[in-house]
Amino acid sequence: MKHLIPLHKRIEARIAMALLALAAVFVAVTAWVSYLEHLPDARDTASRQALQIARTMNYAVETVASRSALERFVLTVAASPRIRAIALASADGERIVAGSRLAWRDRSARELADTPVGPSLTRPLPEDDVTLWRPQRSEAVAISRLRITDPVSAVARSLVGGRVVVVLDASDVIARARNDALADGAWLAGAVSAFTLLIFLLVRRQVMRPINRIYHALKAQQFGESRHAAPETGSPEIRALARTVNDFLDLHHRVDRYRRVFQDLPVAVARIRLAGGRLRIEANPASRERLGVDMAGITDLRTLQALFVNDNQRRALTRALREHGLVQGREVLIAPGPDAPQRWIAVTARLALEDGKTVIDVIAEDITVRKEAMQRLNAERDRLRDIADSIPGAVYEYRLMPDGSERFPFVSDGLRTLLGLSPEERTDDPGTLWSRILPEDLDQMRAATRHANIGTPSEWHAEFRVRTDHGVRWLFGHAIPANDPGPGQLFRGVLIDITERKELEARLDRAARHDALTGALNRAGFEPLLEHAMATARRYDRPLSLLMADLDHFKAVNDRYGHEMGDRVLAHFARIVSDRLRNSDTLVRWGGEEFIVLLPETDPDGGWRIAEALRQTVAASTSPTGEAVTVSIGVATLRPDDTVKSLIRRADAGAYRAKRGGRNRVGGPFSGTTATQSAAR
Amino acid sequence: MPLSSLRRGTILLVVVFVVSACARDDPPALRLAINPWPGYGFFYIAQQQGFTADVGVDLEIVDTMSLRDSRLAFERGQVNLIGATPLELVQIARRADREARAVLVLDHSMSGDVILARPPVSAVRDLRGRDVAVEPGSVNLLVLASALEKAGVPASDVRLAPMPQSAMPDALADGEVSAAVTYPPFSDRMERLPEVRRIFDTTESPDTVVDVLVASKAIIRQRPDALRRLMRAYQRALDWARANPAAATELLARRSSQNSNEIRRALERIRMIGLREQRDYWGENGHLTGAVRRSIAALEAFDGRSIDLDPEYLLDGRALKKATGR
Repeated sequence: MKHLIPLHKRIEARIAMALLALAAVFVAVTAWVSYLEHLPDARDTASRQALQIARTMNYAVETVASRSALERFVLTVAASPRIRAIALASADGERIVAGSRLAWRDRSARELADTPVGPSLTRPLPEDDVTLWRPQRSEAVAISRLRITDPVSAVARSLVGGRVVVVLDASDVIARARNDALADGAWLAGAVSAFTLLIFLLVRRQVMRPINRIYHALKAQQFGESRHAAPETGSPEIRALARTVNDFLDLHHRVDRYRRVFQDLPVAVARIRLAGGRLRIEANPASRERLGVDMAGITDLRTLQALFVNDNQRRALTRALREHGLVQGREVLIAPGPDAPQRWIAVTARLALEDGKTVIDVIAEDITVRKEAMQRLNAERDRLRDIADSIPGAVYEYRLMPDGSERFPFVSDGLRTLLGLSPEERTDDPGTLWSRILPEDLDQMRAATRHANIGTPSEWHAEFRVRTDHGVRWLFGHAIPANDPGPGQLFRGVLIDITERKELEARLDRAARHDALTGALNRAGFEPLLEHAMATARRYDRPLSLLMADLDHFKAVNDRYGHEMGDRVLAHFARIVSDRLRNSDTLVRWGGEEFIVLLPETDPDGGWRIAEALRQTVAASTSPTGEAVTVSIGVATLRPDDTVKSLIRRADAGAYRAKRGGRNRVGGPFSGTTATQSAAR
Repeated sequence: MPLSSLRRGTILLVVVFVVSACARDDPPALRLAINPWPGYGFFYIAQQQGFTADVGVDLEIVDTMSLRDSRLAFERGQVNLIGATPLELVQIARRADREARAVLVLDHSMSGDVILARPPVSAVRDLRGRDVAVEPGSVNLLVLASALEKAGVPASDVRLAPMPQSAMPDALADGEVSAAVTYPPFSDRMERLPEVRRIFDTTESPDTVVDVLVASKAIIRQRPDALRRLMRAYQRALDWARANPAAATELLARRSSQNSNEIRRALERIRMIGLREQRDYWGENGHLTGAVRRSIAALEAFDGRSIDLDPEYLLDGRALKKATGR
C-alpha cells in the first residue's frame, strides 16, 4: 500500500522524521555534554562534603570524653542516608575505634576489607587529606589524618596518628547532575522542537504544499483528467519548478495530443528510415487498419517496392521525390497482399533530416472508394454532357447574382453550335451571348428576364434573334428557377434554334395574307393594313388614296385561252403594276381580276396620276396572250368620315364608272367627264 | 484525523522526558534504625543471611546506640523503620512531625529490662528522693513507672537523671546516680560492677515491655509489599536462629560487639514473637494495645501532662495480616 501514500506525504514524513531525529540527536548530545560538564562539579561537591564530615570528625575526636560518646556521635552522624560508612582507625590501622557499624568495633582494617571503608583503611596514610571517587558505586571517599594534639580522653589518645574515613553516597548529586543535564536537554528539546516546527512549517508552506500542488497537477495529467496547471507559489526555486512543470505539462499535453492525432489519423502516416541497408519504419495504426499494410513490419526495400502494382508509378514517385524532395497527393495503386484487393492510395511524401540522416515522411490515404466513385461520377458526367451536347440547342445554368451581375455556371457545347462560336470564345461569359443578340430583341429579352425575377422567381421564356456567321438565327429560350443554396437565383434552361420554325411561320403568315398567284396582298391581309393606314393618316393628318383596278375583258381571256392563261395574265398584270408602284404602296388582289392599290401620303391628284400611269403602263404592255390588256381604275381618297368599306366602295364605284365609261380609263371621285377626258388623252 | 509525524514525534519527545522525570522518583529504601538490643538483631541476621535479599527487600540497617537515638533518627527522617517499644511510638506521636505506626511485635522482654542500683538502695521503695538514670523518652520510663507502681511509690518521689544508656555504667559506678534503668547489653556490663544489684526486672511485670517494629506512615503507604516481605524475612531469621542457635548467637554478638555468652544470656530473658504468635498482641484488648496504653500512662506520670492519644490509632496490622495470610 505504500505506493498509494501520496508522494508529498512521504516526503513530509521523511523531512519531519529527519528533523525530529536531528532534534533528538542534538538534544542527546547536549544532554550528554551537559552531564559531562556537571559530573566533575558533582564529584567535587560530594568529595568536599565527605572531606568536611571527615574534618568535623577530626575536630570532634580531640574533645570526646569517652568511647561510648564517640561511638554515639559517629552513629548519629552516620545515620544520615547520605553517609554510607564512617570509620575511625588507630594509627597502626589494626583497630577500629569507632565506626558506623557496631560490628566494626575493635576489628582490624584487614577484617573490614569487604566493607566500604576497607580499602581506605589499608592504604598508606598521606600527610594531607585525600578524597577519592568511586564511580562504580557513586561514592566519594574522604581520608583524613586525625590531628589530635591535646587528647582529653583515652579514646582520643588511642586515635592519635590514626585516620578517619568517610564514605559518602554521591548518587544524589550525580542524579542532580543527570537531572540538570536532562533539564538542559529538555529546555533545548523545547527550543529545538519549536525551531524544528517552524522550519517544518516553513518548508511545508514554501516547499511541500507547492510541491503537493505540482504533484497533483502531474497526477491529474497522469490519470488523464482535465488539465491542471501547477500553481506558481512558494519559494523562487519552487516557482521555477512549477513553471518548468507547467511547460512540461504543456509539452506533454501537446505531445499527447499529437500522438493521439497521429494514432487516430484516418490516413496512414509513416517515417521511413534507411539504416545499414535495412528499413526501419514507424507508422500509425491506420497503415494497417486502413491500407492493410503492416508498415512497421517492412524491413527491406524489396518488400516495400513490391507493394506497388504499377512499376512506372513507383519509379515516377521515386523520381519526383528525389528531384523535388516533395510529392503531393500522387495517386498510386498498391497491392497490400497476394489475396488482398488492390487499393488506390494518394501519397504525399517528403524528404526530411533526422539526426543528420535522411528519412522519408509519408502520408498515404486510401482513395480507392473515392477513386472509383470519381470514375463513376466522371462517366456519369460525361454521359450527361454527351446528352446535353447531343440534344438540339444548348442546356445551361444561369445565375443572376444579388448585385445584378450574371454568370453561366454551366453551358453545354450546343451553344457553340447555336452561336457558331470558335473554340477560343468562352461560353460561360454572358457577354458572349448578349453581344450576339440583335439589339431590337435584347431589350425584350432583358424585360423577360426581369419579369422572371420579380417576386417569386418564375419561368422565363423568350424568343430572340442572334447574329451568327451563318446569318441571323432565331433562338427560343426557356428556363425554370431552381432551388439552389448558392447566391442569387439559379435558372436551368435550354436554348433552341427556332429559325426554321420562325421562317415557316413567316411563310404561313405570308400565305395567309397574300395571293399565291400574284404575290399581292389578299383581302384578309389587306383589311388590317388598310385600317392601320387609315388610322395613321388621320393621326398625322396625312392624305391617303386607294385605287380599285379591274382587268378589262378578263372573262373573255379565260374563256378563250383557258384559266392557266388567265392566271398568267393576272400575274403579268400584278408584276408590271408592282414594278410601277412606290415602296410605300401596296398591291392587293381584291378578288378575281380586281386589284386594289393602297397609296399612303397620296392626295386625290396624286392618286389620279398614279392610276393613270398604271393604266397606261398596263395598256402599253404585252400580255402573255400577245394581246393588249387594259384595266379600268377607280380612285378614292380618304375622307374624314370614311370607313374601310366606304373608302373601298367609293374606289369600287370609280372603277365601275370607268368600266361603264368604256373601260381602259380611270374613274375617280371627280366627274365622269374628267374620266372620260382622261381616257381620251 | 491522524496526527502528523511532527506532532507524533513532539508528543513522543515530551512523553519521554516526563517519564524520565517521573522515573527519578524512586520509592524510599527501607532504612531500619536499631540499637544493640538483641531482640532487634534478627533483622541483622535476616540481612546477613541474605533472607532479605531473597525476598527482594533492600534493607539498610542503621546502628544506633540507644532507643532514643533510633527515635531521633526516625524523627529526623533519616530512617523510616525503627525497632522500638510502644513508648517511643507514643513519643513520636506526641511530636506529630512524622506519623508512625507499630506494624509488628518483635519480642517480649521477660527480664531483659532491669533496674540496677547501688547501695544504699536495695529495693524499689528506696528510690524515693534518689536520682535514677533513665534514657529520656525511652522504655526506661515505662520500666521505672511499672516498678514504682508495683512498689507503691509515686513517680514524683524520684528524680530522673536523663542520660544515654552508654553513659549509665560510669554514672552508676561513680555514684552520680543511685539506680539506672537499663537493658542488655548495657545492663550486663553494669551488673558486673561491684555493689550493683538488680532491684527490678520485667519478670515482675511480664507485660510491661514489648518491642515492636515501628514504620513511618509513608513507608506503610508506599511500600506495603516490601514491609510484608521484610516480615517474612524476619520470620525466616527467627526460624534459622532456632535451628542454628550458636551461629545466630555468634552473628548477634558480632553485630553488637558483645561476646556470645552475653548474647546468650540476654536472649534467655527475651521471648521472640514470630509471625504465628502475633494474634494475642493485636486487637482492641491485645497485649500491644495495653502496652501502648501503659506507655501513655507512664509518660503522663513523669511529664505531668495528659496525652490525648487513641492506642489503636498507633497500630497498623495490615502488612502483618498479608504476611501471615490472615
